[in-house]
Amino acid sequence: MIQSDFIWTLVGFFLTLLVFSYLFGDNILFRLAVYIFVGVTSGYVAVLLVDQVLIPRLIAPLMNGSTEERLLLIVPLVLSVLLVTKLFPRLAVFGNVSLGVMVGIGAAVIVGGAITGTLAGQITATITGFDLQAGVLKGRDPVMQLAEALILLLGTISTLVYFQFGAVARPNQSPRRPRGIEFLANIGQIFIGVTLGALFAGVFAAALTALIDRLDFITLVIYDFLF
Amino acid sequence: MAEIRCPMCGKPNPEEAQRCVFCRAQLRPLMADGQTQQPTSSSSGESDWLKGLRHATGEEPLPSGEEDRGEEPDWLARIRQRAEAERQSSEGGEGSIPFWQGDVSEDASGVTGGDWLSQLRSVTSASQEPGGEPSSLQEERRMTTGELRDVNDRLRRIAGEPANFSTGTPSEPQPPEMASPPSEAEQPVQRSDEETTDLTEWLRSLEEASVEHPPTETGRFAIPLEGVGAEPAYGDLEEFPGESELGGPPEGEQPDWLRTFAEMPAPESGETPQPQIEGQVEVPDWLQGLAKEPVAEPPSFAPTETPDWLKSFEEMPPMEAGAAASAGTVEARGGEETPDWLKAFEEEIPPEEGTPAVSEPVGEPVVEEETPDWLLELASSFASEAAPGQPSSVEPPTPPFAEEPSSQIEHPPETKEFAAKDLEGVFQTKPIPAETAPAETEDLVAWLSELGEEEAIDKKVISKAFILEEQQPPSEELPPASYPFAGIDTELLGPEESETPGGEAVEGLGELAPALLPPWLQALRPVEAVIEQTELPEEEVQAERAGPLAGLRGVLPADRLVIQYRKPPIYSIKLRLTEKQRQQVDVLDNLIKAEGKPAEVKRENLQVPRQMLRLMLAVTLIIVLLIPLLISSPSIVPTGLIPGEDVQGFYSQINLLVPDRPVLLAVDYEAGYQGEMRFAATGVLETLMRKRQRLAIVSTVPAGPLLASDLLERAQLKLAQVEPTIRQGYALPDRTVNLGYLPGGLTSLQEFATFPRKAVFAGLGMDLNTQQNVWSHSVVQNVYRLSDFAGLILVTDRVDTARAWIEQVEPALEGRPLLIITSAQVAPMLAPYVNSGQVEAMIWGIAGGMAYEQLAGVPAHAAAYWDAYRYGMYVGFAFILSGVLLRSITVFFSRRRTQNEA
Repeated sequence: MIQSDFIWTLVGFFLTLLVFSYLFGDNILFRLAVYIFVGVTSGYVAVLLVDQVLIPRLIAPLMNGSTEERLLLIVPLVLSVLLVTKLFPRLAVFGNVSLGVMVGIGAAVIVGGAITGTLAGQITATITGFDLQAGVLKGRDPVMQLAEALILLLGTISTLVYFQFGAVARPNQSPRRPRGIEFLANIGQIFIGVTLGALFAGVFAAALTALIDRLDFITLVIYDFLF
Repeated sequence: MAEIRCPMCGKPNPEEAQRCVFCRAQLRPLMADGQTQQPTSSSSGESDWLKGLRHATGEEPLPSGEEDRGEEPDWLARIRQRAEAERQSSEGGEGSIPFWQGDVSEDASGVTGGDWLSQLRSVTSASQEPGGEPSSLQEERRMTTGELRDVNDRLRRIAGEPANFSTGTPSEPQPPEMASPPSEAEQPVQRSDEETTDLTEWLRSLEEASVEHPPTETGRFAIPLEGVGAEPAYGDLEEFPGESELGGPPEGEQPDWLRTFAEMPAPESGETPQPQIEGQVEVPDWLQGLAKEPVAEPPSFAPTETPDWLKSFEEMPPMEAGAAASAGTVEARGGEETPDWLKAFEEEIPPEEGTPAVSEPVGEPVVEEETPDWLLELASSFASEAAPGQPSSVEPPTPPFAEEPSSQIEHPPETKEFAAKDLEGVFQTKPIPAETAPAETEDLVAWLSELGEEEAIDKKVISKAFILEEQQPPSEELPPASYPFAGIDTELLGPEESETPGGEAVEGLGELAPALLPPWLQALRPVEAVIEQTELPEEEVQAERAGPLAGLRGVLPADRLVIQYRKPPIYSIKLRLTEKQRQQVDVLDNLIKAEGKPAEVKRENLQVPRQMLRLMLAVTLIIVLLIPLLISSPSIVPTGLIPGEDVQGFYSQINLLVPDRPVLLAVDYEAGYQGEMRFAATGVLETLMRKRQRLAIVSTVPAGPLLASDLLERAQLKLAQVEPTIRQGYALPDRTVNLGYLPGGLTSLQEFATFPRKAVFAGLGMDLNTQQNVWSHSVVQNVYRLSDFAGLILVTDRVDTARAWIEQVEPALEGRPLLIITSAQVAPMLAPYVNSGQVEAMIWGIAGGMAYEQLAGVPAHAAAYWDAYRYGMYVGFAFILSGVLLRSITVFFSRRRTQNEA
């Protein structure tokens, strides 16, 4: 057990160094590490799908399941076989059925979840920000809550206005949006900038955390190897 | 005695003369003389002399249709008419019977004198019966031949000749069946040979007569001239000079030609046509062919129609014929009976002294059958008038059919000239081989050849319209009246067309003025009429060298097409631009050229420094991070870090979780974010382990189940460092269950939210042989739906995954808390869901984990890396700030340099 952990630690260590080699530019060591990750991930996913999906969901029911279960499995079986035909260009057209089913169902799920989970929730959150009484009940400062609600409302409206590209054509002038719309769009541009800055900070923080983790791993391995 | 001076030659003429004795010009106007206006032939096609003969016999002219139907020659018709007249006279009284009829009555044949005539009459009546059944032409000709032979025999008996040449026994009586006109049914076919033989002999006699009387001495050729010139009716023959010598019965009782036969000396018995076998050699081929051909063939019938009256004329004394041949005498006698149409010709034809009177026989073909009589008459008149002082014995003989009026082809006066032209063409296009043409045939057709020559020579005299191929110089000697269209205004004829290929117009007609078109008609003219057509000279006209048109010139006038289709003119495309337009063009040109040019990329001369800079920054950051990691101790807890409201809310929710229900832990992050997730989630897991909270692990990411197991193990290990009993108190296999991977993404979440047991079949790390169902695990054995879980803790590094869980699963939690542990990069995107209350609490990154650890009082795992994280953030901020300042300074100086350079 210890040996296996040590081996896998050394593998991890060297693979980490290979990835750090990218500091010197794209090189074969970095590519080797990338290919190893891709290959190991693919193999792992294949084994996982066979172990977690095909055997328990298709093969086991076909072999040990009841007649109803077997009949019900015909539909996913046929769709799966048709989806395999996508590997062959001449027979790829038959896989469109399976893809159609998957895309159709996925689109329906996404649209339904987006409407009920995101749009309705965000609209409700924007409105409830002005519910000062509720904020008071939660112990929040109404002024700050109101200010926060106004900023949230302004940020939402201005951001939506920014993506409104309708313009009015005027003689001897380039088409431009109305001044009110232009003003709100500029405010929305500020909110978008702040958001992107926050995202960039988050990306940097996440990358920095990952780097800290890898440096900690390297130091531990080196420490364990040396001491 | 008054005289009439000829308007043409100015010589005096007798008062009664119709034509000039010297120049044959019309002395009196045609319109003034109604007698001369009578047509040569009646509408039925019969000539005046025939009409006169019929008038003398008291017959009425037959309808034209009947006469045409008979297609019998006039000489035969005359014979029939004569026989009919004699029959009537015989019926009238005995004294009226002619003398020859009495001889016939006493003939040994036993046939009465009028028998053969009655038969002939019957045949004639049958043939002339209008309502009679029309017989075929062949049979009719056969009958006619039989009749002819009978008549011939009787005439020869009268003249003392053998009755039947074919039998060779002149004294042999004529069989009744042979003499009687056979009916159509009784007419044997074998008789055709005999009849042909008779006819041949008959013609031999004619030839013999011609031999006995050479053309230079006999006046037999004058007879046709007389007939042509004066239309000699037989009733007028007694007026001939030789008439007194002939003597004979009184006028009116017998015809003249019969009288002529009576006066002729009877030939000797031995003078049969047989000894004249040498003359038979001279029989033309067409006559021999006629003798051999069956009687039924119509073309062979014409030569057999040589009338006996002609033979009588042939036997006339030369002196009489010569006297009769005198044109002046004939003109004086028969001038009044000359057809006006013929007179017209005579008037049109001026006397030409240079025209030879005797035309040499030309070896040109002659088609006797097709020679119209009017043409023959015209030729005779030409010949007689060409040499008025010369004896007409040199004139060619006129065939019998030439004297007869054509009943079938009756040309109007204005078309006779065209017919003559056609006849000329016939003469010139059908040569007869010399070896096959006998001398007699040449003699007989000499007049036709001469006619052809004369017409060819005098073509200009006849009509200019007939000159199509030969260009004759204009004859100034010709009177204006010789032209057919003389007297017509030439302007009405339009522009004169050239009659020759060379395009030379016939002179003499004068210059014709071009027609003047009215303006409206000029406007309607086609374009081709307006375009000037240039005639290229002949040497410039291209001659075809190949193909069916080889040798022809100008048949494909390509040069005209070249003229018509010209190259279009080239117009200048230069534009006149103003200065302002030129500037705009330059601006547009520059814009277009600028678009086509690739953007200039500044060459990076500092390739190595850039890489060094990147490496230097990386090394700097690594050093900054390693120092805290190497120096700092995990025991050092960072101070001054106040957990945020979200961390406090998260902590509160963890504490509010129902202990007896499992917590659903969704691990949906990738291996790359394992460090960050571990820093953020370890404190939370340690809290749950402390609470002995059961955990059910599920993931929508393939690597999720393994990462979840590693996360739990690391958390337990970390907690075990503080609480060693935790390992016993919180055994992972018993307290946790890994439901495994949910394939299908969003759809699997939808299914899992609705039917958790159907969505998940097998857990990770479980033996498929022994595992019946993952839901039989103690952790989840009471879970049938998501609301059976105490809460949902979602550990994810992606916004989409977090949104999918929020949208699909959160409604199925039915008020159970949804807590999210995420990366720092995703937190800003998920904050609205936290603010909206859809997510109860959220912690992110190392900062959130450290804050939670500090708040929860669990062993600090994230705090050990807080300094490194903080230093790293500082260094990173310094790098970004330094980069912004460096870029600002660089841009500033570059602009200033540009301004200075400008």
